Amino acid sequence: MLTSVVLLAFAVICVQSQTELVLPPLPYAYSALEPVLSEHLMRLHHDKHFDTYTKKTNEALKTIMADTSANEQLKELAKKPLEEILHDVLHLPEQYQFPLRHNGGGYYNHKLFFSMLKAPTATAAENKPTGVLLEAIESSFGSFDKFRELFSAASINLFGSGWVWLYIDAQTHKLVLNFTANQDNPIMFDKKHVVLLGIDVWEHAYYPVYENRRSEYIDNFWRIVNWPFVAQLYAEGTTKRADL
Amino acid sequence: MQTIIKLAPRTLVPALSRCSKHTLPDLPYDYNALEPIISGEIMKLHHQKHHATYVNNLNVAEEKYNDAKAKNDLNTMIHLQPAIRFNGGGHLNHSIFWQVLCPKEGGNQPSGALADQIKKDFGSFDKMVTQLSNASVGVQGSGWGWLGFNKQEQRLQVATCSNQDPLQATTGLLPIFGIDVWEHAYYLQYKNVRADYVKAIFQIANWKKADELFQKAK
Repeated sequence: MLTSVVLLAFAVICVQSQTELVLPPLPYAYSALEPVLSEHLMRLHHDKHFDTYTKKTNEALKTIMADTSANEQLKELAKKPLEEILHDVLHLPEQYQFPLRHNGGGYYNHKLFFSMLKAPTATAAENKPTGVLLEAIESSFGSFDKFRELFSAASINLFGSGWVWLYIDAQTHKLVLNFTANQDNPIMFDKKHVVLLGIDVWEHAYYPVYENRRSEYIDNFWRIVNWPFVAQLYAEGTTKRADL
Repeated sequence: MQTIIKLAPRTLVPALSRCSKHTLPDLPYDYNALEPIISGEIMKLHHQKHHATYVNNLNVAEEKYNDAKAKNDLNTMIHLQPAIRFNGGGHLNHSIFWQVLCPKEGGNQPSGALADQIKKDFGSFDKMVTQLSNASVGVQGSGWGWLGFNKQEQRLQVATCSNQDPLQATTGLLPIFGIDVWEHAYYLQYKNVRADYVKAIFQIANWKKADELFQKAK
């Protein structure tokens, strides 16, 4: 009786200490972003790409837990929430960094990205932020139009695969634009960066609808940005980070 | 006047070739010729849009670079280098790629000197294919998988490059066979399953051309 209780407790502890990432559903129907992003594209992007990042991140974390040569510090890190793992991912030894950076980054980026989108407005011009977020953008970039111009240019000019980001810079506390390659995220470079908006410019993010015409994808992206959600991130970010 | 016009072409040629622009090479086959491995739709987009854009952007970047050089504007020259690397690499890579592919042939394997070298450096053709496939599938983001020749060590090697970094300029290896693993090279047909595309592409590898490149590299 005692043995089975101990075994059960042990099993429970093992399960609790090894939380698995779950593929979150889209916050809207697959067809909700039509005609900017087609249902076909959204199904591929979510059910194939995002799902693969989910599975491979879990595999990478399981590998660390089962690896007898991995030290306790690394195993403790692997049990933490993904965001915390990504804060330290660039400091990990190559063999652990490679799968976690790419797949964990991919999971984190896509979870954020799909939440930043909503059903399209008829035109890009009519989809804008308001209130304190708009003020912050105007303060950092001169005007909302200027910000959009700079963000679009960075997105078009990014060579290869990657993301363009708007975030609150950890050091200057200003809104900045930057890009990352592959599945990197600003929080890998400074955990205090507050990511507000991102655009996926990997070819899979637009090819089924726009083929090689990335600039057309970017022009239409402005119709689907979920500014209320971005404003929420801004509000949470400015209150959470006490020094902001 | 007539004499000057007759003589002029000889002296003009060196000047013209300094200013000559890069051009999009024709495919050595029809757009549909690589079906069913690579669809005509992909080949058309890949050649007429992607490769053509690299050529156009390379010409623009080079012209700006030459202007900056004429003015001794080093800042602008340095600023333009990533664009030249990216678009120049794209042009080089794709020009090779079209040549090392050909319509599907049954029992397609290299023969002669290249086959011998592959056996020597990898143990067998299948082992080379496995190594090149794994490397190509494993490229993070955009890039290329290559079978290259190391002239110093006189051996074949598998290598990968990211984005449009050209093999020879960035690694010193001479390209023998390459696989474009940018999503645009396969997405419309293979979706996210890069591994299926990489597996299939060996059915349309032009080993005859690869052998020519190898003989030249040696």
